[in-house]
Amino acid sequence: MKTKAVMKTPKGFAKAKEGIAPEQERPQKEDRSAKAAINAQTAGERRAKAVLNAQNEGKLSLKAATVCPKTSFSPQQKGLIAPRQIAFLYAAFLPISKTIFLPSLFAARAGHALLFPLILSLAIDFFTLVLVLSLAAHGEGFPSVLYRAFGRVGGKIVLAGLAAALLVQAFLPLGEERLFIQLALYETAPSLFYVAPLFLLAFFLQEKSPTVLGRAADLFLPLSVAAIGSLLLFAFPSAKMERLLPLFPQRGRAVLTTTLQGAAYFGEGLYPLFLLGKFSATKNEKRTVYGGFLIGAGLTVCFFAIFYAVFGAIAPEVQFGVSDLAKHNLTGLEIGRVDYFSTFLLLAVSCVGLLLPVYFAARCLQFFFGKREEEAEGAEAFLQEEQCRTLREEKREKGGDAACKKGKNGRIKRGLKFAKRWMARRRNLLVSAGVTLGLLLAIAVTKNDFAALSSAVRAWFFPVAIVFRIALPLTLVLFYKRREKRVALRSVSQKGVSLRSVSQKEGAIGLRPSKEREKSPPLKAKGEAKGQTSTLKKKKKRGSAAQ
Amino acid sequence: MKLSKKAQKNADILLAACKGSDVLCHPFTVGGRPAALVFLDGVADKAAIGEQVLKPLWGQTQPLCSDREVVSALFACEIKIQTEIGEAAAAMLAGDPALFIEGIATAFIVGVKKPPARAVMEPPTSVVIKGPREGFIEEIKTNLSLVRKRLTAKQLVVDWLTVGKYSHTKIAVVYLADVASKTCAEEIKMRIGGMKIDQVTDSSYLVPFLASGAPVKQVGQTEKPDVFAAKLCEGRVGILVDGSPIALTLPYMLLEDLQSAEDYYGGAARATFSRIIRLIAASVSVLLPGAYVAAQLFHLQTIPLKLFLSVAGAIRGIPLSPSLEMLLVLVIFELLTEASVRMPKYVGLALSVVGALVLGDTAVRAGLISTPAILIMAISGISLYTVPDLVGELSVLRLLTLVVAGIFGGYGVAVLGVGTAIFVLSVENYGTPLLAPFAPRITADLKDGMVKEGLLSQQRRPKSLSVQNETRLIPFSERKEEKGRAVREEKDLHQTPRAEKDQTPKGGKRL
Repeated sequence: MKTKAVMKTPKGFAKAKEGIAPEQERPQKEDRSAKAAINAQTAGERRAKAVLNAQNEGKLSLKAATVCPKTSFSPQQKGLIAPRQIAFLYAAFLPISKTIFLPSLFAARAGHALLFPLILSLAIDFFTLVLVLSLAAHGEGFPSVLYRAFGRVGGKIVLAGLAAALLVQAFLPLGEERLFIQLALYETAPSLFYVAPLFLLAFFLQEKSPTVLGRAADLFLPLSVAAIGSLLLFAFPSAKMERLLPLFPQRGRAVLTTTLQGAAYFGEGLYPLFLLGKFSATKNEKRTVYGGFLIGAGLTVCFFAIFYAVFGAIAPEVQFGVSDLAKHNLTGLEIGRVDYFSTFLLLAVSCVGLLLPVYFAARCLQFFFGKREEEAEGAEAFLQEEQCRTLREEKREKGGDAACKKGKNGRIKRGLKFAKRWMARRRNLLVSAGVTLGLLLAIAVTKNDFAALSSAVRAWFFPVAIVFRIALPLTLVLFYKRREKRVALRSVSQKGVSLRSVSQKEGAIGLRPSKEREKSPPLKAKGEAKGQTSTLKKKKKRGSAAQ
Repeated sequence: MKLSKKAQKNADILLAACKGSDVLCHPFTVGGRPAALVFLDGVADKAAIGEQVLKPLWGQTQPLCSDREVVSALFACEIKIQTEIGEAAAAMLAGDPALFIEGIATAFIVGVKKPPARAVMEPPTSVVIKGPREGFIEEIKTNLSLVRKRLTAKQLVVDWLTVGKYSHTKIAVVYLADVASKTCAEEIKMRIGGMKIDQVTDSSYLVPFLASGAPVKQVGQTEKPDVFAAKLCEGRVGILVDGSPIALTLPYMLLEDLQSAEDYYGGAARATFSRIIRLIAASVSVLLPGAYVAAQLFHLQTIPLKLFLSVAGAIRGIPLSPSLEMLLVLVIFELLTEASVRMPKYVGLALSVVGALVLGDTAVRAGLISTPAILIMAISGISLYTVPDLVGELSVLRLLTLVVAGIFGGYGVAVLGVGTAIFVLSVENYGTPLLAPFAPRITADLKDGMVKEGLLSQQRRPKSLSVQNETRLIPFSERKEEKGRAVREEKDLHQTPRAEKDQTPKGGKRL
């Protein structure tokens, strides 16, 4: 018997998702949006009541009144991102990190067949993307997916590994961009100080929610397409496409080694993994994301093709092709090097594009250092947050009383508590600062040895890429498939039990009633299951105490 | 404190409570009983007092014993009854006279105030060639009447609030009940109601309370009632402040400032062209001085050869570095702008002569400033005023760009641009992103974005504002369909009794 796969989308997604026109919403989502609207109203009422109470008590200060009006219908508060924005993220930023140094590297290794390793690498990325998007259907957050699959400790290890891999992945293009600016763009050979603002921007970006990232994709897509498109347009008259012939490579080994060497420059397919629980992925939405990826990939392929068609045999020597691509076509004209404007536009877009791995690495580390309640993502986040807040308040009240009782010794403890709380509140900020400073230091230290270091990274990165880009998503997908099977089996067995219990009712010797069984959670992660039972127990205890 | 039945005693208490020599008391008798009228000199309309209060009361031969009798005796159409001395004092100080009659423990507040106000005229900040020329003035009731003139719907809600410990400024929160987001309206009212401030002399005093702390414009402002009414119809909430000719609108989107009232009174193509020009001008005004400095200092190859030669010839012998030179020109320009706004008109001519001839020509002749620098600053300055509502923000950004370009070059400018964009992207007000409908992209709202489509294609209100009712226009073609559908439905209902059919209005359903 065939079973229909049910798409699980978290509550409130339909309304809170950005930029989705109500006419696109399906009729069955109406009740959800209505619920979201009711929630919004109640939240608004709650805020209004709070303000009124504060006003009555005379406590409302200027500061309190000028708090940013984040209403509950704001997607920024929930950090949601629309699938269209993920598609735009790919279309706008996928070619960026590959336009600086990679074309010459591929040309040096694969010659005129440079498009093959590129297409192969992009295909691997696309495969990763397909796997990751299949995970999105479960509607769970990124860390909870990892913890469910690998346990808490294993999940943390994976998080740390992912962060390290992403930072290495970010390091190469950032270093190359520094060299590009110093050697090709400025006429004064500026120092590292001139590249430093990018790291300031990196820190600033890490503090923003995925919603802002999605909006950045919306904004930068036209700029990115205009920059790459105009560069290719300027370069096209001097391109000799026959240089790419013969189309099929004679040396398959060269293509393979080039693919291995270029592994450090790819890996965008993994990005939606870090955004799990922040977007829904229905069939059409998945198609949109794939479309965005394919557009980005198409632009990259076009860039590589034109690059080789312009430079031909000297392509391996042209290390920063972006600024030289249209040179031959424009130097003779009186309008000057207008292609520089496109280059600067591309540089502006690259400010976000090159920082994407840094952003996601910081996100991984924030999850790594974060507490459990902060890691809750997706639809359950709000509920868990509420529960945690009440628990925290209770704890604080108890702690406060205890500290008061202790007298002088309590001061140190209170101080320590304050420091701990301060650190906890600013944990994300500290992680972002650490990541940014670490990268800046790495780029500054490897000033002279960058070429050697980057070739070493390129040579050794492939196994890491295999682990994180193919093995990890594949493992997660298989884990969820197995879990679904187990759930299905369990539901079948439950049906059996219910039949039996019905038949045994008459004999008054019953198993646990089937309804109760259905209510109990089917399968939980190790950590989460423990946490939930403990809160349930606490609630029961509290209830019995109150009674 | 409650009022007593003694008229003169009440008047004395009121006079003692209001410590101003401009508070006058006029004692007289009504039907043989003593009465007193307390009013604020200069604010209350004395002619109206004579016509509507004193004249009818002098004619009374019988004593007036109840509130109802007094109200029916007076000719005034706006009478409030106060029983508390504090409330009576507040109303009297607002300009309406308080009438006390012996035997009635009530103050009759007669609405005959006439505070000094200027006439309704075209606002100097938003002049139009085509379209309505009326503008708001400092009188809130006049402003509200200008809005009412345009929106006579019963759905127009006006919520009155009073803010200011000493100024007791009246504030009207105006919105369309079936269009605007209720959450947004409630939030705004709560925020204004929660204000603890001495005085509110202008609507700009409310802005910090209504917006988050981000240093970017987050509240829409307009001086034109037609624009205000149009924004209300789009689903925004408007705020009128007594004493201010500038009305506020929320939620605000950055796109609003690139739109002009005239865009809606002319053709769509012309409006699109104007908007694109405004966007280009705003970008030029911010980026041009910085780009010039960066090109001179770090990226000479971006300048075409012939232009480069002429620039090189012009800057030869200039003692200042390009960034310092441009900074100097910018400071001079800002000085001239500031002075020309503040100076009396008769000095303005002299100022323009000094600015154009003495500072410009002489500085170039003296070899302090190059001609390209003045030219670039002039272009930047002119471009800045194509978007008059964003002049403050853009001029600060221009200065910042100039400094960054001088220190970091073109890459620094690019990073600054991206940083600013990300900052603006993260700002939301009342659930509406500041850069909507571009980021997040809301395709339906792009019809009135940079490219303006015709009126008939804008059938729905902006989705960015999360309005209650999205439909704002139904074109003829759809109306016919609607009518056809109604007719078909009617035909299908063969069994409907004739009496029921007759009840339906002639011509079917019309929207």
